Amino acid sequence: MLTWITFLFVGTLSGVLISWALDMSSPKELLQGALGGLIAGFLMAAMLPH
Amino acid sequence: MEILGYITLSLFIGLMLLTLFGYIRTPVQTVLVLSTVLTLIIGAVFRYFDSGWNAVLLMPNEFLGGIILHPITALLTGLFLAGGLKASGGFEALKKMLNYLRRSPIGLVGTLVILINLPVIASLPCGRILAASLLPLLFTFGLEGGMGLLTKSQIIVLIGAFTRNAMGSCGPSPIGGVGQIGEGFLGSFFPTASEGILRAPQAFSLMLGTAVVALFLKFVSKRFYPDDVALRDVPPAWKAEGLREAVIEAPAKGYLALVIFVVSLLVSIFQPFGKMPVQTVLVGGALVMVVACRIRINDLLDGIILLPVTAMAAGFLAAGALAATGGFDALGVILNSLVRVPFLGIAGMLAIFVQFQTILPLSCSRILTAALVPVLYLFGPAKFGFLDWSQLAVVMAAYMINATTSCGPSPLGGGGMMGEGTMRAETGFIKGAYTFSSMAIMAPLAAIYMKFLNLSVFQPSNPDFVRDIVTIGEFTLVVAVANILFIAVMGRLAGTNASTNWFIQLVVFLAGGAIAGGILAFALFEQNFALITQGVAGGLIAAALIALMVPRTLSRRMTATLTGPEM
Repeated sequence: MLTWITFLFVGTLSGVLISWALDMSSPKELLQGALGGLIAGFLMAAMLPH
Repeated sequence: MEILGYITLSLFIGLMLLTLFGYIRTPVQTVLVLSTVLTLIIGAVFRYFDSGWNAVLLMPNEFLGGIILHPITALLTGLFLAGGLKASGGFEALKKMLNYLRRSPIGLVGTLVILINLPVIASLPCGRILAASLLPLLFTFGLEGGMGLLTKSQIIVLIGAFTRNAMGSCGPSPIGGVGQIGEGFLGSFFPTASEGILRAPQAFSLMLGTAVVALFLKFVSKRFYPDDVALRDVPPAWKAEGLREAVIEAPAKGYLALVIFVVSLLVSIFQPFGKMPVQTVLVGGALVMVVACRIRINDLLDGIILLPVTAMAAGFLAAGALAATGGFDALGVILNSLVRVPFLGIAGMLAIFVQFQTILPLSCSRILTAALVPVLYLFGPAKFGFLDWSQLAVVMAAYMINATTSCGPSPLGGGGMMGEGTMRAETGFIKGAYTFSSMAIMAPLAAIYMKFLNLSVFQPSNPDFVRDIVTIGEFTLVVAVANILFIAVMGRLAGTNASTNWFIQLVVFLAGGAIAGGILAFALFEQNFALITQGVAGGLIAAALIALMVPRTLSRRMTATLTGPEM
């Protein structure tokens, strides 16, 4: 469970930072980036041994 | 015979530095082959006088044994499959699907974030497989690629971040990944280490490191090297009337090829039919593509790019020669001797050791990892006793992510060159971003993750999970915020003078390295001020060595030297 939480957290953070770096920094785009990062973090956590 | 190792190691490093700094103006493949031949000649002479002909005759076997074929064949099969995808219209099908996805709630940016992190999620044994397949697709988002959806600046960030993620994804791979070398050694104490004790720390730090690379490229690299990316920007007229979207037609066999491609990747990752080499699965997928999509073998071969293959092969030849003549043993002895330097001690030595592969990035991280992980293992209870098993796992996590990401910034046929080629940048453009993130973000975060969460998973004792997870969150935010501030300041101070820019970068690298060294020492020895200070000292030395290798200016001549003629 905690592995999932850490990866959802880092995925979201990573998504927001990447959106900003891509010059997509309106609130909507940052939210979409965070959502993309959340999905990436979820998928990554699903691939890990628990 | 020990002296032989020092001689061949000096020869190799000397030739590489002369090439990197432009004093030798031949393709790096040629220099690596020259290094191999000289090393073997010197080794043969030494062996003849030391042990006679028999020792000389054993050399070819030892030399060839040092060559690692896995990443070369993985790259070839990835390119092979990408060729099939291209010929059957698979990329057009993918473009259409991405078009649908970007109209979904996650939008274009959410789609790009997932795409950038796709390599670490897939965790294939070599990042080049996905990079070879998907870089052409990412290129299509720009003006030259036809879609014109992203500006030049965005394409640089997208390709750079994706390639960073790819050239680190071999670390946490459960199917022949680099991290498994370390997991094998940790299995001496942690019974379930081989199930992936190093995977989560690497993946966690790589995800954040990728984002920091994106910021570094946006704020720093573009300002330091403003004229070294040949991509064109979207014309102002296009911007005024809104980005024009090319009409994309995808044939049915393109969708079929895409399905075969995805199924091949999934079979490679999850191995539902039992363990088999990823190369076998990918070649099988390519052959199915030939039959089902009616493409020719020649189409598959068209996807193969020889440059990274030859560079990597040459790198392995040189490494094999070094291994056969004791060059890597000499390197291990040198690193071990740093413990006796008063201001470094064990903490400072480890702070340098974990960064070593970023200091000397080779075409594939496996070359040095195979040589140095046994040395690291000996620092633990098995021989020297500098570290207990938990500390060894912490330092192994930091070392491994730093090592596996080292092929990214390598100008000697490293994976990052694929990204630079795709974004039409001169060789070295991404080096600052890649090395900074490996050094200042990934190594310390992997250590913290291993200490505060993963050790408790693999060695349950009496953990306070909630406290530990909060600690990980705090460290992640502090490391991220500190380094983003450094990057922002560096970008703001950047001017037109390359030497001044390089000096600013050196100072920022030193700051990032010092923090990384201090955090690593804290993760190992907790609140021991003297050892943390030694860690900071080691981090400073490692950072200085890494920063000194980042080029001040880029040039077409240097790119031509390092990449060789078009093949």
